[in-house]
Amino acid sequence: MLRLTSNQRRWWEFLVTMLEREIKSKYKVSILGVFWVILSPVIQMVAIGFIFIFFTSLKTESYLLYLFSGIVVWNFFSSSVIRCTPSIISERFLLKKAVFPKEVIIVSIVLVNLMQMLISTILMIIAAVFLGITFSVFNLIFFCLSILFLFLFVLGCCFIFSALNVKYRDINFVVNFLVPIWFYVTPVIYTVSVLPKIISSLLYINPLTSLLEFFRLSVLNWSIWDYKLMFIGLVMSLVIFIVGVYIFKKESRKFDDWI
Amino acid sequence: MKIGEILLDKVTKTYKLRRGIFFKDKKTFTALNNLSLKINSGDRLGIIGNNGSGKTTLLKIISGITDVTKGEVITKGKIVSLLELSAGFHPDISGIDNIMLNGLLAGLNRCEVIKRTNKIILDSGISDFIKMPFYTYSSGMKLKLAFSVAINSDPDILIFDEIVSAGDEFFIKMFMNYFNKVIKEKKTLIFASHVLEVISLYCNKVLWMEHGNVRMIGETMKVIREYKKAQTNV
Repeated sequence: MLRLTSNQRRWWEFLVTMLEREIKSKYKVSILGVFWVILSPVIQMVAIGFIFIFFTSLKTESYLLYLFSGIVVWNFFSSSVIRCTPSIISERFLLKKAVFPKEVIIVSIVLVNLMQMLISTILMIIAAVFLGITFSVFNLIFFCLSILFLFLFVLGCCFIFSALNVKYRDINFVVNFLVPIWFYVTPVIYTVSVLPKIISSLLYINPLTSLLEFFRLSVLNWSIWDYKLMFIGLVMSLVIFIVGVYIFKKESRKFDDWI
Repeated sequence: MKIGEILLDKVTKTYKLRRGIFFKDKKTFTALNNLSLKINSGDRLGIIGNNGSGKTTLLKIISGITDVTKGEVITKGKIVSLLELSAGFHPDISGIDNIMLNGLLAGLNRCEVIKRTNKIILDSGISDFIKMPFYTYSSGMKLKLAFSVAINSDPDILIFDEIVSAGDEFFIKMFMNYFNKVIKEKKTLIFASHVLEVISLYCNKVLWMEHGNVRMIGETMKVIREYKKAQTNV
């Protein structure tokens, strides 16, 4: 049995309570509730797929799966970042009460979004297997790894943006226009191979490209373009996580001064 | 160090008035200026002083909500603070769900909160509204719920800012009952207020703050007398 110190226990209890609250406030008031988790990426896939199916050389089913996997990962990233960035300010009522582990606010938001992504992904894997794509133990290991890296990367981004946004409220504006641009430099709707080589190498500056390719490799057996660049992407996402934790820890001591 | 003791050593707190990377000149405001203070276990300390004299900053620093710029704060024991009415509550979820959140913030664990929920609701006297979202509450109701959670989380040190003014007769009674209990149990209490009557009734020591520092500290009646004298001279 794992022994927790009282501080660790407090941390986990906060996380559970915040998760409960996040889920409750997210789904309780909407009519379709949790169904939106699967409904919204499907609608996005149909809408985008309907147009881009004419621009791709891929078969229809494989393009739709390709697209769906991209949308699911993209939604995880974008909705986490957009929700987290102003979250420290909107949760000021918690910070004004007592000392507590502030990073729980961010972790709970990202975890709820991760859960949504996992639900859609599992349904997608079932559909993919149905369409004849194999899913072996190997895939499962890769899948878990890719989810872990994605989680750390998104968490790192959210830590950085949310912590800096407390002092520099401009960050929220920047994030709001950065995210749509970010969408186009991530191979969500297109494949890296359609681009000229110079430009496609540039895409790997964006760690999300590597993470998405890695994710597709694991769930769709998608052949990836360059293992070396992908490895750099994974390292970069780890670096972003560590930087995020550092910035958040440093800034969180001063949060109360600015809210 | 005894449980319930608080020690502040040369504490300075400055706020930056300008944020931003482009401004070179750093405008700052010093809320607390080199303040040293010792609060003994079982003291009931009233804090008085004009607006902007640093009362709330001092309370925030003792409860750990904000960090000091210079100096050191040492406290021993569980601190529960009531500084802002809606602090520690989420407006969109019900009172009963908020008890869990607030209880955790007050240092209880989940089991303890679940066990005490009924008592907290009973003490707060707002059982009719407990399932309603928190944003529907009046300030008096918010105060009662916050106070009820605070007193049910067995604190060693209790910190109140000027908030009692929102309460009705029921609350005043609840407040006074609890104060009497605090006196009996010898808990440390810190209470900032402009209502001198309440302070002279319940505090055994008063701290008079001015410009972020101690103007006077000592026996209740003496400090209040000096304070009143200074007020009439202005």
